[in-house]
Amino acid sequence: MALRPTKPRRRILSRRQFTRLMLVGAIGGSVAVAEIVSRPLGIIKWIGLNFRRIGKGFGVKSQVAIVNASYDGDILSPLRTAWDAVDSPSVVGKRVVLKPNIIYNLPGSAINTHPAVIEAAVRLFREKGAKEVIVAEGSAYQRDITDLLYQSGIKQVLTTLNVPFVDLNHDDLVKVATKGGFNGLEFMWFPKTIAEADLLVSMPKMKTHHWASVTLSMKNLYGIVPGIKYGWPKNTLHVTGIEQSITELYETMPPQAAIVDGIVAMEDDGPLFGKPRAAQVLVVGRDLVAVDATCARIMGFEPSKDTAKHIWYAEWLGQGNAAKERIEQKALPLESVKQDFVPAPKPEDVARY
Amino acid sequence: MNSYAIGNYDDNIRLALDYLVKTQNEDGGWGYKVGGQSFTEATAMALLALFHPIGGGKSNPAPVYAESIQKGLLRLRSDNHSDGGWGIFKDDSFSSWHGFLATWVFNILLKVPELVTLYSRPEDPDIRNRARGWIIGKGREPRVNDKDAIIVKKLFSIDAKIVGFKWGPNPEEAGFVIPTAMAIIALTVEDRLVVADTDVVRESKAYLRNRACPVGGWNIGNPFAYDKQLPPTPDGTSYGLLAFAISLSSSDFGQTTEVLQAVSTLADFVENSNSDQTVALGTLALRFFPDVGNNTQDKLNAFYNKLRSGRATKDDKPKTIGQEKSGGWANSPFATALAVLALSDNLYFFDPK
Repeated sequence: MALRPTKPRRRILSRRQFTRLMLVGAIGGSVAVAEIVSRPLGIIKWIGLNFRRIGKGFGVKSQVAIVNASYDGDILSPLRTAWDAVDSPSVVGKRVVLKPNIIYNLPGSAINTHPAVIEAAVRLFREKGAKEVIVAEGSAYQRDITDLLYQSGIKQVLTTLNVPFVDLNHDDLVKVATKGGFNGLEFMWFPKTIAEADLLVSMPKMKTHHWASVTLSMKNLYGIVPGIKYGWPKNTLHVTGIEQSITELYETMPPQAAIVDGIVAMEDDGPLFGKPRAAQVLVVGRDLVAVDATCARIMGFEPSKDTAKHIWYAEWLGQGNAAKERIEQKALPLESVKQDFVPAPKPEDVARY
Repeated sequence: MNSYAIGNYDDNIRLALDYLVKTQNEDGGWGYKVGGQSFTEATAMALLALFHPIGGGKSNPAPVYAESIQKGLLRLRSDNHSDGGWGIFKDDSFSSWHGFLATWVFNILLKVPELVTLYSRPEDPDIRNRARGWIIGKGREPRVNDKDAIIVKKLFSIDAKIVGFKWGPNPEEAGFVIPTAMAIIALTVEDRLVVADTDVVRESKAYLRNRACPVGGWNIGNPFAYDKQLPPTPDGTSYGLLAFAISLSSSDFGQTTEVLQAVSTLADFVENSNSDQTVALGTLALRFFPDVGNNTQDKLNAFYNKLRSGRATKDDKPKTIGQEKSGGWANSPFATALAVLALSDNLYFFDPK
């Protein structure tokens, strides 16, 4: 019986084609896995951010002005000098919202932005032609902020200058899609006053902070988050990550600038129980990363993965410049005002509390 | 239920109820400020005020009150989520602490015969039951593990093993004083004598005792920040006392030290407050603690005068504005509703018969 010759089986894929397919599949699978495990940022966004950061390195330097000031003297003049020294945005015909740091009534402590600095800022922006200047805050520790405004001396300034104040914790809300996707939230609810501002000026008190190392113009943005939605003291944002939340707020909110009250700052056990520290400076700029990096250096801290991580992270995300060589210092040189703040004790982090 | 007998403030209440009718939004709800977005909390408080016998809470009420209540209840019914809870307003799809206030409203609605007859619908008991289920099942913070409890004890000197209620929908959030107090009220008002001794309410009261500030009263829920005492605030103290006023039972063995201290703390706050809302909320809470601490009848009468007219309790103490010609307080339907409850000699909103 003759053996019937078997027909050679026709391959669907050649060995080479198969190898290529496996290679493409492995790369695609790896990207997909990397995308999932690296959420909320995601590998695709990560690649995009790297390009943004690298691009930032070739761009113009950020300008930050440091001026000396005292609560007993004229604050408007040095503030004007600082504002004019940097590439500050025009405010003509615009609605400017000033966001100071008004947090608690602890007599004798340098805890809140000083009313004299708020007064100078209101006068400056009116002088520069702003259509409207509003002072707004969403205090982290109290629902009714009225008494805190009186106790801090800020109410008296608002009354004298006839400036409207908006309690951001109870303002009307607007749904805003997050631009960064850093904190894993697709959208957040923001106060209408903030969402509709042409310019948001963060006006923090220069302070040490037990978890964030320093609390400055970016961390101060926590105060724009409405308490009625996110609770007091806005701990939902701690749960989603301090650095991620701070950078998301900075990424998503309207054009911003910063005026940091470092005239009498806070060192040691900040942001509530630290000691007053006379640094005698106002720090001004429109790149909040650069402003905060400059302030941190004035305080004696170098932003890094371990210290003031949110500043380091914001730079890593390409939100601004933190490196010394990428910041053009205006008015006073940094070295002339540099201090050596006692850092806040760094406890173990149990974010939800 | 203990309470000071108070004067006849019917004229003030009538004016205030008319103000609430006038400031109701087209969508049936009320805002924190006149013309502002409707929020569940503000709507619930306005409804509790309009349930007053001078308003819609009697047989044959004036049509304006009845219509206003119907519209408000329709708003709440429409905004009730399928999980039983409420968001902070109609567009908020996540149930959170505002549902405690809405539950309070439905409990009163289903308890006062006149309200049942005039305004309740067949679906209301189901709404209330599902709301109660949401509060107990999803409103509380998760239990912490032993390791975290030790860290929290070290950092904040609180017992994290005792569970309170959260502000938001995030399952990782911690409990805080105000939502815990509101949850106690919302649950207990259904049947004070029974619910006050349930496990949930007993644990919630233990939570409040544990979070009380050493000097008396409450803040948001952190009596200590590391080794430093964080002072009490008027709002935390008021809500904490209201929760104890409604839920003190034989298992509490009389009024506890925390309550005694808090009463004196709150009386000082009200006396020194510039805020109409704080005076309204504080007076509402203080009336339930006759002759406790420094809360004397004379002092409470002075607080009622301050609430109505804005007059300071003493020459060296701050004034407020008091009830405005419009009938409202602080240009706010929410503050006005609080004032109505404070001025009401009928305790239908707390101890419905």
